Amino acid sequence: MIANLTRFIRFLLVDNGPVTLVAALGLAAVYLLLPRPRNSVRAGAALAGLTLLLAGVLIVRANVATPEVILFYAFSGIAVVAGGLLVTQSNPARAALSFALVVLSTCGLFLLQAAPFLMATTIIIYAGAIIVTFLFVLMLAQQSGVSDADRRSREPLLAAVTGFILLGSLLYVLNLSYGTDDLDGLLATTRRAKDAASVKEMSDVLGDVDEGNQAFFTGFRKAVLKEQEKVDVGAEPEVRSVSQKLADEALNLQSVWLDARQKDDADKARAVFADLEKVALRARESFAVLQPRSDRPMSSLSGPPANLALYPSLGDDARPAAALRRDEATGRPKLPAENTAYLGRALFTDHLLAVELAGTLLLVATVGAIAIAHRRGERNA
Amino acid sequence: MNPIPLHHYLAVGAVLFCLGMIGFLARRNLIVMFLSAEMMLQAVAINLVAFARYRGNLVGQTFTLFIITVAACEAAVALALILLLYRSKGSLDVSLWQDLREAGQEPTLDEEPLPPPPAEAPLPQLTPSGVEPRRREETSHV
Repeated sequence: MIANLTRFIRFLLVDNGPVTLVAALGLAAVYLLLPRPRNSVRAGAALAGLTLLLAGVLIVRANVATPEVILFYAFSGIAVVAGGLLVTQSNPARAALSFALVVLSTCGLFLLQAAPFLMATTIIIYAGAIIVTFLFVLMLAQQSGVSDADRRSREPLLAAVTGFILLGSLLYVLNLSYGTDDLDGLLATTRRAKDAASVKEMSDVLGDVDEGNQAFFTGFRKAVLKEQEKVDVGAEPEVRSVSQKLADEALNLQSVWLDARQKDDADKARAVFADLEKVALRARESFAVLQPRSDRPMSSLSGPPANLALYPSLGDDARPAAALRRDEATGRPKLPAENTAYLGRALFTDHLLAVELAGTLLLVATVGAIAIAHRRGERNA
Repeated sequence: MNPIPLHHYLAVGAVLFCLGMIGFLARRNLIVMFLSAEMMLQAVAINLVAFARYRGNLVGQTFTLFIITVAACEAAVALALILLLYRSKGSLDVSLWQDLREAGQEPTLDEEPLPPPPAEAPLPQLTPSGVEPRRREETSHV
């Protein structure tokens, strides 16, 4: 029992210190800021600011300030701050306005993710219709400003603890599954080595020259096997065998590289790094990917089917990687530029039944809303 | 140069979702509760759009479109219900409806009194300066 407890505390504080710290600070901030009879707004606001600052320092690791990076952090920062205001604001009209801010910055994120049609739809429907209706009801129902109910919360401590435990575990799982920073660093090194002119330069890029670049290859194998090490119990047997195979491949390539280095054969070495790049991409692909088996027939009307591999594979997969319309620079599949046209095609081919159902739902909701809000007694009066 | 990776978008979605959940659990105004629920829907929409970009596939965006549809329906019905509840109790406070709670559950009572609302600022008054001139008795000039 005690041993379990100490293990749990070490897991929280040592292994996942940053996540725990940010979640705990955020918990304290939201708890202090939630409306209560005796509210300490200043301490809460200071804590919230500290949380945001700390999270910014821990999360923002962009070394290049491209427009995309700046816009992403600006939009998500505004969204998170406005979300916090929505939850802690005691005046409901202001809460509705900060919800509008959340919606607008979400639309910015949509635009960054190549979804202009969704951006326009969300602004029109949420900011234009839903929020206005909310404000309308608010003004109808609450003409005397802030009421007593708005100055109290139901169980603020328990609610904040629940929310931040969920947040902490979500962030932990995200970091565990998608945290590929080490692999990305190794991938960048590999690409630099591939572009180097001579074998000696390649060796310099890899570092640890005297030991035969042992450190690079050990780190590479470790990064590839990360999935297996971290979730040793839970990993699917398929995933385990993939990462083991990739690690073996990296070991083979290491011996080929040592051979090429001895013979000073630049072309052969370059081929080694090209293969190593493929191994790294494939390993990154196998992290936290749930995708349907590749032999299932799937519709290709909404873009490349979901069971198509994301990255070029090692050669054991017969599918051509060119079918993915991939972007050379970013390594991501491209989305069609005519977003609206393709979205329409996807809606009216793959999702036709769902479109019909959504239309029916809208009709039913309209009729229902009118039937509910109708004053029955007044017709006779 | 790498673009913003997928899991950063997922993290933003997670933060918004959890804030919305806290708002839904803790706030007592019906409208703020529904705003929090809408914010949770927005968080999920961010996730779906990020996955659509990641896979180069429009299924995620289509799904988001349906989320928006359902959110619009939900808002219409919810606001009608809120109006109905408001008409019968005269307040948007959700804890007025706690007699619908499960049997054997203790009711929540507000024990701590609210601080008195801040006093209204007094209207500005001009300070009298000098001596008031004597008014003449009103006389009729008929």
